[in-house]
Amino acid sequence: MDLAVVVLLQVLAAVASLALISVGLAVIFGMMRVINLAHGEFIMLGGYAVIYATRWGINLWVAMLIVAPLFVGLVGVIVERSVIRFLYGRMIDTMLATWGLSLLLIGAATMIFGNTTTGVSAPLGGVSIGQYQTSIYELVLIVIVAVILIGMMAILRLTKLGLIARATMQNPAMAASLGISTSKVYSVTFGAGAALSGMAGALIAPLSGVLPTMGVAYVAKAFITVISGGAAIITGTLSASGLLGTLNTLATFVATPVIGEVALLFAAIVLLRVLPQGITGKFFRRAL
Amino acid sequence: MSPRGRTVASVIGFVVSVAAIFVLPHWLELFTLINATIYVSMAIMTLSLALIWGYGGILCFGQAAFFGLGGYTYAVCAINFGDSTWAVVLAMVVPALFAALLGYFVFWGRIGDVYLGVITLTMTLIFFKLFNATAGDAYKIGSAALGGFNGIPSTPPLNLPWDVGTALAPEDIWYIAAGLLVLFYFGSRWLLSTSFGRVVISIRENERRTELLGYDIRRYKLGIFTIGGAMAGMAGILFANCVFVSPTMFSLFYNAQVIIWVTVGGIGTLLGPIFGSIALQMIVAELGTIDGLDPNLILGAILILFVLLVPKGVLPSLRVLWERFRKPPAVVEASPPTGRPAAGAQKATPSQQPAADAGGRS
Amino acid sequence: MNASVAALETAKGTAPQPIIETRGLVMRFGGVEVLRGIDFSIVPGELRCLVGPNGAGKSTFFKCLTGQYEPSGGEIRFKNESIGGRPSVDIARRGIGIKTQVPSLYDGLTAREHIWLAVKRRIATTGGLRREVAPAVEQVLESMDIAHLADRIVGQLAHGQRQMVELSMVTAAQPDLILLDEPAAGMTHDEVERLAALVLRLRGTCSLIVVEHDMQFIRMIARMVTVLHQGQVLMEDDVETVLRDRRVRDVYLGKREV
Repeated sequence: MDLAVVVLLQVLAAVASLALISVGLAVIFGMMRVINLAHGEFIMLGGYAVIYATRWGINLWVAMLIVAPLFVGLVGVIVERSVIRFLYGRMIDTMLATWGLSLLLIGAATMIFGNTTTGVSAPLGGVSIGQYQTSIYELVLIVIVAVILIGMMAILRLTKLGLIARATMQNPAMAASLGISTSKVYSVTFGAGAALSGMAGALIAPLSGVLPTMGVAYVAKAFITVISGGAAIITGTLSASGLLGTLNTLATFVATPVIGEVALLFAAIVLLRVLPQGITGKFFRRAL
Repeated sequence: MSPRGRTVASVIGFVVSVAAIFVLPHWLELFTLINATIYVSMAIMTLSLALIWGYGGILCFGQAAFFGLGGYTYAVCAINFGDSTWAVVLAMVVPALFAALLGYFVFWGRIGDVYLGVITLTMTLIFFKLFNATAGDAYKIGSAALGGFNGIPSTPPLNLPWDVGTALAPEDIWYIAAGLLVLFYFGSRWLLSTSFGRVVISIRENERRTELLGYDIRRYKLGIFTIGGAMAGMAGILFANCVFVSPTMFSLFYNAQVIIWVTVGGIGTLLGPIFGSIALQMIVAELGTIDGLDPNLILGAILILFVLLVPKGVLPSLRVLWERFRKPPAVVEASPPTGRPAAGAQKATPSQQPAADAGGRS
Repeated sequence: MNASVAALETAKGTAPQPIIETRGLVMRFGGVEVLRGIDFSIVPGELRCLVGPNGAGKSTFFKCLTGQYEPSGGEIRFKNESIGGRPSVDIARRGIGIKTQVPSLYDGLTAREHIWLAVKRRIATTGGLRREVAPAVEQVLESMDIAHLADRIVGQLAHGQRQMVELSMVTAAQPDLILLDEPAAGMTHDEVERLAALVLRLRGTCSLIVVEHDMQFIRMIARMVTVLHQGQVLMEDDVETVLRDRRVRDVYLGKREV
C-alpha cells in the first residue's frame, strides 16, 4: 500500500517535472513555430538566478517564482530582438542560431561560474509515508506545476492577451491584418516562454543542482515532449509528459534509471513515427 | 565554371592535396601530425553530413551516432579479433546498417525536417546514455570491456590488412586518413554526378515534384543516408586511432560541431564543409589556448554570426562574389531580378509558413 | 439539366472506355466538404477544360487525381484501374503527369536537368536503355523550343520561361494523361498563343485536363468544358454553350443563387 502510494507520487513527480521543463519550449514552439535549442540554457540561467538571488539574501520562494522568471524572461526578449526576429519563417536557421546561442551561453556560464555544480538546499524537509521517505518539496512541486498549467489555461482562455495570442497562433496573417502587431506578440511570447523556462530551472535547482552544462540534459527531453505533444501548448505538454513521465518512472522502477531514460527517449521516437503531428495532431485537436 | 575548367581545377586540386599529404609529415612534429589526423577524420565526418544534409536535404542532427557507432564497433572488433582488418569493414557496415534501419523508420513514415532532426538527435542521446552506463564487468562484448564513462582507452591501432604483426605508426594513420578524405571527396563528387546523385539533388530541390515525376523518393533518401552513415563510421575509426573511443563520441558537442562546420562552409557544397571544418578546428584550438576563453563560447558565436550574416556559408558566398567580379551584374541577370512567379498570389508571409508540416501528405 | 447535356449523356454510352473517371468523389477537410460527389470522365485523346470560380475545388480535384490527397469517398479509375488514395509515385508511374498551379520546379537546377529527370524516369519505367536518355533529352529541348534555355539555372528564368520548362518536363515523361493547373497564368499574350499551339499539338498524343480562368485561352484550345462550383459539377457542355450560360456567369460574378 505504502509502496503503491510512493510509486504513484513518483510517477506524478516525474510527469510534473517533465511538464515543467517542457512548458516554456511548448509556448515558443506552439505559438511561433520556433524550435528554441537554447531552451536548456534558459533553464540553467534560471538555476543560477536563484543561487545568486538567495546569496544576496532574497527569500528562496521569491527568488524561484519571481526573480528567476523575470531575469530569464528579460534575456529571452533580448535574444528575440537581437537574433530570432531576423529568422522568422526560416525554421532550420532558427534552430541553428539557437543552437549557437546554447553553446555561447554554456561557454559564458563556464567562464563566469566555473565548471562545477553549485547547489541550493531544498526547503521544507521530508515526510515519511510508511517506511518510505520523500521530500515535501517534491510534492509541493507537483502542485506548483498544476497551478502553472491552470494559470496558463486561464490566461489563454479568459484574458485579452490570451485571445490575441490564440489568434496569432491560429492565423498570423489574419491577426496582423486586424492590427495586432505580430512582432510585439512574438517578442512577448518568446519572453514568456523564456520566463517559464527560467522558473523551471529555478524550481529544479534545489533537486538537481546547477551546472553550466545542465541544460543539455533537459533540452532533448523537453524537445521530444513538446514535439510528441504536438501543437496544442497545454494539452500537448500535459499528455506527452503524462505518457513519457509514467513510462520513465515505471521503467526506472523495474530496471535502472538509465533504462528509464532510454525508455522515455525510445517511446518518443516510436510515438513520432506513429503520430508525426504529435498527440494533439491526432487527438484533442481543438484543445489549447 | 565550364566543365573543362572544372576538370582542370579538379586535377590541380588533386595534385596539390596529394603533395600536401606527403609533405606535411616531414614538416610537422608528431603531436601536431596526430592533431592534423584528428582534424582530417572530423573533416570526413563533416563531409558525410555535407552529403546527406547539403545534397540529400536530410536534416540529420545525429551524425555523431554513426561516428560513435563506428568507433565502438572498431574498438570492440579489433580487441576481439586481434586483427583490425574485419574490424574496419564492420565499423563501416554497422553504422550503415543502423542508418538504413533508422532511415527506413523515418522516410517510410514520411517524417519531415524538424521531426527528423529531433529523432536523430534523440538517437544520439540514447547511445550517449547507454554507453555511459556500461561501466563494470557486466558490460563486456567478448574480451572488450565497454568501460562506461571512460570508454575503451586501449583501443588498438590499425594494422596492415591480415598482418597483425605490423601495427601502423601515427604517420601511417595520417596517410590513410588524408588519403581517405581525398578519396571520399572525389567519390562523393562522382556519386553526385551519377543518375542516383542527380535524383537525390532533385529531391532536395523539390521533393514533391520528384515524386510527381514518379520517383520513389524514400529509396533515394535511404540510399544517401546509408552512405553518409558508413562514411561517418569511417571517421569514427580514424578518430578512435588518434584518441580512443568513449561515450563523448556520441555527445551533443560532436553533433553540434559538424553541423556548425557544414553551415559555415556552405550547405550544398563539399569543399566548403571540408575546409570549414579544418579551419574552424584550427581556430578553436588556437583560441582555446587563451586562458579562460571557453571553446563553446567561440563555437556558439561563430554559429550565430554565420546564420545571421552569411547564411549560405563561406564557399557559396565566395562563388557569388566571384560571379559578380567576373561578369558585370547586368549580364548575369538577363532575366528579371526574381524569376519567381509574377502572379504574386502565392507569396507567403515569412512568419506564417506552416513550417512544421511534418512531411505528412498535407 | 438542359437538352444538350442530356444528349451528351446518351452519347457517352457509346463512347470508348474513359481514360479517367471519377464517381461520387468526395474530399473533406475536417468539417468542410471541398469536393461533394464529383462524377467526371474523359475519353482517351480528349482535351477537357475545367473552369470554376476560386474555391470551386479544381486544385483539390487535381490533388486527388495525383494521389496528393486521399479522397474521403468515391472512386477514381484510371485506365480502368482504381487509383483513389494510391501514393503519388505509383500514380505518376501509371501515367498521370501534372503541372501544378504554383510552378513546381527545381530552382537550383538547369532546364536540361529538369528534362533529364523526366526522361530518365520514363525510360527506366518502360525498360529502355541508359544511352537512350541523353539524345531523348536533347530531342525534347528542341521540340519544345527551349534549347536556348538548356543550361540556364531555372531559378533565374522569367516566369513565362519557367512555365515552359515545367510544361516540357511534364510532357517529356510522356504521360497518358496530363493535368495542367492554370498553365497560362502570368504569361504574356504571345506566350499564351504559343502555349495554346503546344497544347493543341499535345492533344493528339495524350489526354489532357486543363484548369483555366482565361476564357480567350479556353476558346483557343477546348471543345468541351466542365464547370465546377462549390465542389460539384455545375454543367458540362461545349465551350460556347458554357460561356453563354447564365448560371456560369452568375457563378463567376459571385451571385449566390444558382
